[in-house]
Amino acid sequence: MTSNNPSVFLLMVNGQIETANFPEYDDLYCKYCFVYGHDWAPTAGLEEGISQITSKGRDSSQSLVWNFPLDITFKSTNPFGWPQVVVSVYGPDTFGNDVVRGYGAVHVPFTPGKHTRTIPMFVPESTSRLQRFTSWLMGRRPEFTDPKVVAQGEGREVTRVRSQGFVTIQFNIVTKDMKKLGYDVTTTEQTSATRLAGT
Amino acid sequence: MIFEISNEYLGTLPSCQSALSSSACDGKVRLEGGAAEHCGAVGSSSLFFRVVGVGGVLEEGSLEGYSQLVRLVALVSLRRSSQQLMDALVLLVNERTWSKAHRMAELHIIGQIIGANGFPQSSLFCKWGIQTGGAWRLLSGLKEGQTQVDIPQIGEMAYWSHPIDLHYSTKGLQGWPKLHLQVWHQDSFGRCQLYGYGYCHVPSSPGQHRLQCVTWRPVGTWQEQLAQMFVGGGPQLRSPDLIYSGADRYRLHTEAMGTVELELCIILRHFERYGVES
Repeated sequence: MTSNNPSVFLLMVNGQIETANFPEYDDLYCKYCFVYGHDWAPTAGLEEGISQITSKGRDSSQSLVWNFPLDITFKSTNPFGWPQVVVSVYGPDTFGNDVVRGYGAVHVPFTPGKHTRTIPMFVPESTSRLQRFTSWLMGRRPEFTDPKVVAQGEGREVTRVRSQGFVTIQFNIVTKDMKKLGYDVTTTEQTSATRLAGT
Repeated sequence: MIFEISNEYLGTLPSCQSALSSSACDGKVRLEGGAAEHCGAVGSSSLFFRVVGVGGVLEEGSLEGYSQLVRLVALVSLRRSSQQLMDALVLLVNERTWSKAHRMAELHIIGQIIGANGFPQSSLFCKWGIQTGGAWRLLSGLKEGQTQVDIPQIGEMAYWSHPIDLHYSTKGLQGWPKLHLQVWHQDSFGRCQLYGYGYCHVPSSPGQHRLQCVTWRPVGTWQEQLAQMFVGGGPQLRSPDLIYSGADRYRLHTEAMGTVELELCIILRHFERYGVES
């Protein structure tokens, strides 16, 4: 693994999809997947996963706990297309059908260390009143055919969404050889601060 | 199989002319490349390339991990003409040669436009763009866009979670990228009304930054304000350049609107080579 002239850098992502907060819904599960650019490739770990179904706790915070592990390592030559984790949350409606309760995405943190990210979750809305009426009648919500669209910047101007919850993810990041390839991600103050903390 | 692309051929491709006209290459660049099929793995092939200038090899490498890899492997496996393979190679190498030949500094801006709060009503969307000086070249990514319309159910804040991922190379520091924003309100009939303009500089220090961009909108005369109260609408800037320039602002009368939240990570490369401190 040691080389003086590396051609790729590594990004190791450990973490967990910790909790969610959806005031209006209960009995939810989530799916996650990673979206990354052409220059990126996963070297180890799982790119996708489905969690268990969880119900709200009895305490006042009313949060849904998944405690669902994330563990993946990427390699790349170029930070462009930095990985994003896309989370979608599903749960039963009043008739017991699974419907989507939220989509969300966030970039994997860039600097080594422990990070907590709270990501807003939203669902698409029908664009016309007729569609809204028929979807109410049929008990079906509009969904994205591919959840990965929430990680893309193109073509979003046509979507109307409703944000209705949050998901909290914890990340532990380790990077390798980014400095050697000339990439500067941390400020000088930050590095000196961690060095101080280390001594 | 080894092939060589002559100067004439390189010159005919528009994307290569900039590299050819540069003094570092002195108009003499040669691209060599080849494919070698592995014996063991079925269908896998590796590709290598070399860009040779006057001073020697400017860049060489195999194509593993490069963005065009998929396309190249597809071409090779389909056994297309070497001409097409060369096309793909030239496109691939050009951008990298350009920055390598000039040994330019690179800047990555990666992050999200998270959302906005403090506006009179929610159901907001945002048009955004990045403005740079002439020395900056966009290598990949989208430099403008429009977010979704969010109607929040909890709280006041509208969430967009709009991803931004840009890769610039630069020859100078003048015109460091600026991000300009326009926040719009869309009502239930689909009519849009301007709610605010704002801009912020992209941070110059590497690392993760949480930015809060304040916004403002022009105020009309009292008759216009009265009309705005009843029918909506309102004055807009005729030239959006005014969002990020201070030249002609003194004639405007504006009022404060909400703030837009952004999270951006800045990655610098090769800046220290020029003695730039950040």
